[in-house]
Amino acid sequence: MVGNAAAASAPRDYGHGPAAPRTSILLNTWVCICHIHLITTKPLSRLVNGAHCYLWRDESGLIHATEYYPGATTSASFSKSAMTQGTGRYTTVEAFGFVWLWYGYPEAADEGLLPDIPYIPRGGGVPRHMHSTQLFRCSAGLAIENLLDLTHADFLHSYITGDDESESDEVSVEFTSETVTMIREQKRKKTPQFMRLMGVKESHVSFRGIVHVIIRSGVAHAFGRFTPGFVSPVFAGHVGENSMQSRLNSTLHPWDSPALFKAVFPRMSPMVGKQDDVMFGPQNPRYLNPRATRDLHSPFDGAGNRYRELFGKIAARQEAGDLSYGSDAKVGGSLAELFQMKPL
Amino acid sequence: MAATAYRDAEDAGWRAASAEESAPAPQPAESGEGVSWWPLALSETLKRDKPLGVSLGDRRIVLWRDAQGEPQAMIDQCAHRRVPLSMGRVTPDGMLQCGYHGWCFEGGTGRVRRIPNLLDQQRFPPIYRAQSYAAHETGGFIRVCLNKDAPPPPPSPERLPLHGTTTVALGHEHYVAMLFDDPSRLINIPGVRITEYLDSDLGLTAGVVSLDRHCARRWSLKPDRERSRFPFLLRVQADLTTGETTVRLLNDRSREVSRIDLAPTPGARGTTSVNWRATAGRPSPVRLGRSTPAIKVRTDLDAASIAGADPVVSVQFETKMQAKS
Repeated sequence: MVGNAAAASAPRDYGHGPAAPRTSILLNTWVCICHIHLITTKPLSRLVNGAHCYLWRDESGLIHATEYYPGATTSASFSKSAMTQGTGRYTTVEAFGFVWLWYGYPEAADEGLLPDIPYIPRGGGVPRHMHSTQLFRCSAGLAIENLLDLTHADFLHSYITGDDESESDEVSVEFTSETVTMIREQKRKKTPQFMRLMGVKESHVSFRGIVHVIIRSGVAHAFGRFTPGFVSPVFAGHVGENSMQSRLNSTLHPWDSPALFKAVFPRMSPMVGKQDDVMFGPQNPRYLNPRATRDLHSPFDGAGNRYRELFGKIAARQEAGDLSYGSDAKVGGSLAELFQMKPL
Repeated sequence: MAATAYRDAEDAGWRAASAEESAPAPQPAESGEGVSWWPLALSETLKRDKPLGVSLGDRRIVLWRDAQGEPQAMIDQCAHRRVPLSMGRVTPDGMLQCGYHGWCFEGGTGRVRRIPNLLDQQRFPPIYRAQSYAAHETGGFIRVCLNKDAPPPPPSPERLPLHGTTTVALGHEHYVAMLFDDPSRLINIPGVRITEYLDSDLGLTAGVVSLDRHCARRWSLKPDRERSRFPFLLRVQADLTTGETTVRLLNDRSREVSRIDLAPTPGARGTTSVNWRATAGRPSPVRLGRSTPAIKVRTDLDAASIAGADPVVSVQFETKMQAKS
């Protein structure tokens, strides 16, 4: 009768997508859980794959990461998971200004697998304004795919990165069993407005952007270099809180740039994140719909699709009980060569 | 546009999609469905430079105007990464461009015609498209039909000057039924009281049901059931599929005093979106303020009173339809 046609048939527009972004994080990896400077004696709550992690300092300044809220140890309110061997205390490491949490079986924790950040001193010490943390209304997988296809920046962040017009635009993808690297080279693109404000006088610039993702941990480096112009390294530690939300712990440290750029560029991070989140909000539920259609792809999606594929392979191996890293993994190795820089 | 090299192109699904090119293009899912034209938006709200997101039930649809100003309709979801296309823009050549990665879709076919940064000579396999719908503009409404093969809607003779949109927390089917059972709960005519007494039986002609109802002056104290004559008649005519309804207030000489065209469409989460166009009411003697419609759509429905209203006329809808068929 009245109005029967539309409402009843609406779900037909969706279908199941075989290659959807992943919603969880994988086991036996270092997760960039929090900036060190945010941890005080007042416990801070973080979620990892739906599990609570409380971070706080004791009176001696030592950082603790537990499954339970401090003081609740006598109650049975926390799960004594295998992640903490039933102790309720996570294995952590402090490096590059972050607390890294070992998400996996503690006996396998290996500092050699800690991701390298060559543009941040290992001991930290980067100015506070260069750090930021923000929540995204999407899974960590979707946020990482967003980085792996930098063409979105031509539309969403054109003020900072410039539009899609350039003399040439080359994209290449490299990968191991645990990492994906996307390199984009643009020649003679119009100088972005932001770069003009920062003092770049030339009408055109070249851009080389490298996005390096460590699949298991959700860590991504977005290392941009404008010539003439400045280097703009972005460290993005994604924490998948659940299938609908992720947290980005980031540090933007343009060490090799003029003072003005150093002061302003890191402060753009929340603005850029907000622009991305405008897309993530409506996008993520459409990947959770069990009746979704397949995505279409362009050649620029090569890196994102490789990420989906490799993530799936690791997940399948882990489900079969194999948590090991392949010999080609290159997870903890130096990235200075990739970014063509000397480590700080 | 610059040339692009993509060394890892085989991983992008590009070749797999090209292989499917020889396969027949997917048919629109709705090709077997009816030919109802849903008035989803007002002409004035669909600008030339900005797409407009609307809902038909839980189906999200994006509307925009092509280079010729003709309305186009498509599923409000980019075929690439699923973001709403209504967050994008209309290109100077009338294509709908996604605001995320810039994919451009053609109206009518829904095919992808341009991906920024790609080679100049871009050709895409037929599978590279999004679900598109038929769209038409008549009588000041943008009408959408889910079946692209449907014949165009009949032209509307007039476009009423006043217009507006409201969303009510009442299901579409119930909204249309209530227009027949007790229209006073949905519309308001200043100075006029819509009574429960009828001047006709429920009529059905070509899928349109109609009913005449007596109206009295609001300040009249005489009980309605004791009246021998009524100064006004309310004529309600509705298309039973789409619910598109014309409400006319006639005087005792059967001349039209005022009119409102209601276009209720199923909204998301069981709501109803009501686009309306109306004639202007009598201007005030001092001619202050804007013209307002003589028949007004209620926006603040009394849920308790609606829940308590028994179906009176609408119980015959099904019987009438069956008898007709």
